[in-house]
Amino acid sequence: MAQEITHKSAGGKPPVSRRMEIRIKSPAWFALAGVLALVAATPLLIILSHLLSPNQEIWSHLAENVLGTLAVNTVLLLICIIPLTAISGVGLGWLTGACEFPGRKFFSWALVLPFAIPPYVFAFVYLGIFDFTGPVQSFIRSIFPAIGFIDIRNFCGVSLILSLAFYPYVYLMSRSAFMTQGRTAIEAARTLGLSPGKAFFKVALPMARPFIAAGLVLVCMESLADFGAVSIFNYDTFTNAIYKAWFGMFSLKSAAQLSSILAIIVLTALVTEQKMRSRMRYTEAGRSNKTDRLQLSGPWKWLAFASCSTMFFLAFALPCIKLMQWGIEAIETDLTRYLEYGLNTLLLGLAGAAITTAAALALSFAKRNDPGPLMNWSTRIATLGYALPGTVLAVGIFIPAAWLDSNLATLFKPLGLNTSNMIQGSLGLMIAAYGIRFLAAGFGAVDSAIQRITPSIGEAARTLGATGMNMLLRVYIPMLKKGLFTGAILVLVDVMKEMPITLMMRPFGWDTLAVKIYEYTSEGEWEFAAVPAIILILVGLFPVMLLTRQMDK
Amino acid sequence: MTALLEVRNIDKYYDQFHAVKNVTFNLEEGEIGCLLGPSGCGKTTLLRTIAGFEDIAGGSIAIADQLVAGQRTVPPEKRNIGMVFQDYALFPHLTVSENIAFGIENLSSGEQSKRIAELLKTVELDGSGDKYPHELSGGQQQRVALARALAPEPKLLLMDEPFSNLDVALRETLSTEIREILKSRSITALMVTHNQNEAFAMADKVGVLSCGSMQQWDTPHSIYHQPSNPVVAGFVGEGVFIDATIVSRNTLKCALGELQSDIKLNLESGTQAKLLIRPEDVTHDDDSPYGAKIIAKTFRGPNILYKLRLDNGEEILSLVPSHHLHAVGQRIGIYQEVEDLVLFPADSSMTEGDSCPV
Repeated sequence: MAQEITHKSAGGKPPVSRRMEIRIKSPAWFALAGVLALVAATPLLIILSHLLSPNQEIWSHLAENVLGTLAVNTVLLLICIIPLTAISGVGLGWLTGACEFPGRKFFSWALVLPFAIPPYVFAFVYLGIFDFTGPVQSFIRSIFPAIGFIDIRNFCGVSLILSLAFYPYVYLMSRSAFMTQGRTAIEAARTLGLSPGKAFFKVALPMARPFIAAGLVLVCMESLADFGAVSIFNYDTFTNAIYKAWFGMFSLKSAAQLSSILAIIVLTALVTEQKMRSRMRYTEAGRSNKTDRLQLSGPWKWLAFASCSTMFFLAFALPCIKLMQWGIEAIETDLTRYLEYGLNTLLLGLAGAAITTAAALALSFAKRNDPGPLMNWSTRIATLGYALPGTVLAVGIFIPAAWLDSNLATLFKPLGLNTSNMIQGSLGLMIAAYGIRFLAAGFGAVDSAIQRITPSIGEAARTLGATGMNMLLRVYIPMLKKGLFTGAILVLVDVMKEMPITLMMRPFGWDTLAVKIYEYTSEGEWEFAAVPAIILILVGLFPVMLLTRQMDK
Repeated sequence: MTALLEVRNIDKYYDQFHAVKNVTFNLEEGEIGCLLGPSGCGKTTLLRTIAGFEDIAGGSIAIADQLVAGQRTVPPEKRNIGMVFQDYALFPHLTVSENIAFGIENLSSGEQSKRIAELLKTVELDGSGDKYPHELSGGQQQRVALARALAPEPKLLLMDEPFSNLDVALRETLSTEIREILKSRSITALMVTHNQNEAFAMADKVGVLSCGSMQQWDTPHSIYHQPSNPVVAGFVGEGVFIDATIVSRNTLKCALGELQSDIKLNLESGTQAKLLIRPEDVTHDDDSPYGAKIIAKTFRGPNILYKLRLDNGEEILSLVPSHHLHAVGQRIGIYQEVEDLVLFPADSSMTEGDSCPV
């Protein structure tokens, strides 16, 4: 050989110079991502620390009086919701994803519309419909006068309500599974002698299993996190037990202990969901188009139409009609009272959207600048807040804020300054809580947009002298406009619909539409709750539109 | 002439993978250099270490006598380089003019527009300054990328597979055009390609890389006619090795007869070696005493590439004008016109560079 081909370095290990790498990249962005992760992780860590340092007295009190009920209620709820959402979500997903019948195109996106209605709105609308003087019970009494009041405020009622609100998770996941798995697998099964029905159960369904499971885990997480609907139904689960412990019994410690249990349950669900996700495979065996959909014929197609219509009616049309009816009654009395709440809601939404989108941009830019396993963990931890129920997050944020406040007070008292409750009752703390809760939504939108930008764009900017902030302003922000806008809209709407954090952390005078819905419904004043609910549904249609536009791309 | 780019013994690892192995070469001021090699040979990594996007584990890089990697590390934006990316990386939200202006915002607006106009003229895009990148064809985008990289007047221009996204016809015209632009402005440039025609058309110096090592850094002519090792011989051009025996100081004997060399072979007589035979070294001549049997042929338009089996069983390639049409199985007379005797040790093989030692 004419020339030495391999150059061996002394010793076995390659002399990789970490030091140099760090100097090429800017450590500032990395530090920023670390700080965001730390801020987001603090509430969770504080909550979990209560699990490690249990207060004997509180624990025994909780165990005797509440834990049993809460556990039974929660398990009952999940036992009902899982099959309800599974059957409706998978069935509808298969019909609109893999079959052809009249109205299929309309239902494909219309069945996602219930996402625009917050669960607590479902709850009070149906409570109103099934009220003693409401249409259903009056009708039943007119036929069977012997029947008294049928109370739907039990686990059956709550499960049905939450299933109406959350089935779209399973619907969307299974629909995309049925659409991406293509028809060839089904057709292969048919040529091997299986009937369409058998092919569905033997091929399509097993192939879609990881998707369905992931959707169901999301439903469980949402159900565990729901505060509004269970409160309106007065059905005790962990979330409203936490609220009652804090605001009813004024025991932040018990609230923290309950939160730690709920946090563990939710984290378990989260880990399960991540596992499911990694098992999802998008194998496209031939793209799905109109011709290879299963053409439903005769009675079947009308049955499909009827199922979709029923779900659409119950989960969207009926609540909207009822709300309109109430809304018109309420408008006749007084409309100006909603103006202030609407403005509060919008302001909080905008503030939350602004800081959350900024944090999402910083995080995804940091990840782009310095990719690596450490950065991946930072972003994961920073976006963990979406898994934490609002009540848990509020407790987890309030505890360190109160601690800071008392330390500040002792620090400034000698100077004659009164800093009492400067942090814990502040608007800033509540907006920070929104940020932690909804960073994942903003980050998802911004990060997927940044990933579509080829890395050479940033490198080109560097060779032309633009770095750091300069590069961000001149290259990334203009190119990310759409992603930033999407992220901001998602967060804005989430904040506007948010109930427990606002209820527990709002400073005096900052009542929002969601808070007013909570207050009106606890008095049974459905008509007054209708107007804010309609506003929130209209606002909520924006992200649903973004979602459905993506769906069929 | 002084070396504008000095690369000394650089090493680069990705975890355990040794991507660039002890590479050394110099690029003189005003020269166009080209790193040539199969995909995965480390050529793009090498270019990126020079740009500053990758750190190095050992060695040093100096641009215009400024140490940029080694004892100290200078970030890409301070290396005084321009870069043309494989996907052009034009900023889609900026017009052509704004793209070109991106790196010269420190200049006064008058100077900026003067330079933009001049560069647009150079790359023959005058009148397209207000268009957006997506309104341009691939070749035009490529030229905008070049103009943008040249605007800050960098000391060194780096180009990463600049023509790989273009169709073949455009690739050839554009490479000549770009060579002319670079030469007329005496720009020092280093490019990366896997296409040897491109390398030969563009470059004053070509470096053949294989498995992370620089095999040879030389003029295109030397790379082709005097490959320094079997890897280069195998990668560049076509050809085969046949057995040869040294007869005297400047004579050797092989299946094609006795060959004379103008220079001393520096090998003892009787030594066994491999001789590189290029297809164009073997011509068709019916009167020749040497004959071979055609075992395969490839029609290439202007000429035909015949694969021939010699009487001793060795196989060679011959490039023959395409009106010399012969059938497979036919025996034809051949004559060798080997000018540069390229000899390698007797155990050499053409496929040495095909797989890297792990």
